[in-house]
Amino acid sequence: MTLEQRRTGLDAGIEGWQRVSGKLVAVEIAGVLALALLGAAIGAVLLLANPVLGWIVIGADVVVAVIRLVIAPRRVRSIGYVLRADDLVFRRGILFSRLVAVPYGRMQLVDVNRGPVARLLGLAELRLVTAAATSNITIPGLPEPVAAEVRDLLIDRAEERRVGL
Amino acid sequence: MLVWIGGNFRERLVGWIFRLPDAGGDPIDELQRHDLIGPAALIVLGVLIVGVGLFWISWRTSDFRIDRDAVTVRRGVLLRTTRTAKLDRIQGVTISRPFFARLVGAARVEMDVAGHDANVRLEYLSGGAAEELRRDVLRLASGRRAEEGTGGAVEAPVTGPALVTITPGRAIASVLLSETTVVLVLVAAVVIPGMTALGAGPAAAVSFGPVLIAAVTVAGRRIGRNLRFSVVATDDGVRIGAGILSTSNEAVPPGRIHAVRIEQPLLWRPAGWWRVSVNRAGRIGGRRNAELERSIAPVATTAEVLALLPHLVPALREGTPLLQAGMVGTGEGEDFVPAPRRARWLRPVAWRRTGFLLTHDAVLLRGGFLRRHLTIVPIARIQSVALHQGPAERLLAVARIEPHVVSGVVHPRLGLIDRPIAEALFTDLARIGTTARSSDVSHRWAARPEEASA
Repeated sequence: MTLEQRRTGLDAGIEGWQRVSGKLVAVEIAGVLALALLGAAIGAVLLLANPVLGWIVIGADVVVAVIRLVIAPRRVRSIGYVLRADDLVFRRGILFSRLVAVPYGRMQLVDVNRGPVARLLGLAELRLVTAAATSNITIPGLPEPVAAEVRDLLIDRAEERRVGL
Repeated sequence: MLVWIGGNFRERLVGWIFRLPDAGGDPIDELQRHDLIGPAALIVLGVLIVGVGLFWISWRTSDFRIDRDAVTVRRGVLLRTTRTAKLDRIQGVTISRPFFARLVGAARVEMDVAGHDANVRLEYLSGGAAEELRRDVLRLASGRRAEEGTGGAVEAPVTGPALVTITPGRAIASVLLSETTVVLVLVAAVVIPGMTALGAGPAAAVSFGPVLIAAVTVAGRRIGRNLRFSVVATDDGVRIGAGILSTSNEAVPPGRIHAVRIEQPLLWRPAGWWRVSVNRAGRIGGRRNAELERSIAPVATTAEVLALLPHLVPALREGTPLLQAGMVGTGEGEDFVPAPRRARWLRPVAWRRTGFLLTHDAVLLRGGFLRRHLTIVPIARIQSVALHQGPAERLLAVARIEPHVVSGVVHPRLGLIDRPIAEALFTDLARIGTTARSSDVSHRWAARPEEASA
């Protein structure tokens, strides 16, 4: 194993990864900012009671928010999925990377969800549920037409290859 | 003996005592004082008669029907419900005899189906009818053709040898040698002398009392359960029996087990005992069965485990050496793929045991040095597969594989696999998974091949 391979995320030699929409970065940023604001508000309240602690909280909050903002584009780029002949493969994560293969026949249901910011940008997320609680996967940042298309395709293929538990 | 009798009766006695209204002292005295004994007795009698009458009506109006594909139960008086379960979706059939029902020879039949509150219950039948019903359901579900001409007459029950029988000595010793006991003894050994040194010895001993009583009660209940525990092989899967006053006997057809884990706490190692737990899609309500579900064999010897596993996972029929390597082996024996040496940075001791073996229809995940464990997942039951890698694993070029199965006590996973090997295993599991599922016939386990796919 070369150093180069070690640096790349897990892919099990699978090719043809589909990226999710770049607009997802905006959704991520909105999420980071919302959480950062909440942290800052807590810090501000603490400031009244204990200035030192308040500034520590605000400082930590800002540092965390900046780091998350910097890595947001990379996090989004790490998300990928492939619709193979018999299964859907999904991957995500930079530091902790995860690769999941879900056979079409094992899918119990497919959800399409849209959060408030994602809806403004015309994005949706696709959630797949199997009989195993641990395998649930969520593909965020799909443009709405793509999400609908993938959903229909998954349902068709699940119907064709349906198996028991 | 006394321990289990005490353990079983205690709950009932406590409930009985506390349910009595305690307003104004003894209620009987109160009644006597107001000269109400007669009316009170009449009320009690009336309630009893109405209760029995309602129960009788609901019992009379329940009926069931089994045909080739499904079992249907109709019940209810005001609210009629009809529940139909497809036979190939039945995950197990349990006959339980609660204590009072057992006194009159009645039994309850419950067919577990995956899904929340989806079990098909039938209560109450006579013991013989319950057995016959179960046999019919299993026979029809198996896809085995009833012999022409016998008109569906019941064949002789085909029961095989007892796979696990727990001797009283083992039942008691296995509980006494559990980690709980060790922790308790250690705490007692540290806390009581410590407190005595501080001049509070008696107080410490007294405060330890309730803990001890609780521990003894729990241990007593566990021993009681183990005493009457048995697993028997049949043509239609295994039968697990348990219980002393209230008994239950559960039949689990082949192919209904999604993952098996056998593990050996350190203290059990000299005796060679193992605990066998399984994940199943069906679930039966009730306290006793929850315990039953947790471990399919609470304490079994190595020989019993080797005999039992092929009945739980048919793919292991020829695999005794594999299983032995999985249970006690280290390194590369029997084609196990071990963790690379560099993995010792993450798990300094357990990496020697860590390894996996992929057979045609199952994957065996081995690990644990002090507490040895082996997880077996039939590939046809895997719902999805995941590969994980954290920062430290990235540096060492290892990864963790997780076959996802229906939820339960077993969480199959194996870390520390060399990354290219882990990626190959991921690819294999995803690929074999698809073919194993389409060729899987265990939902109609005894049918001839051409019928099974119908």
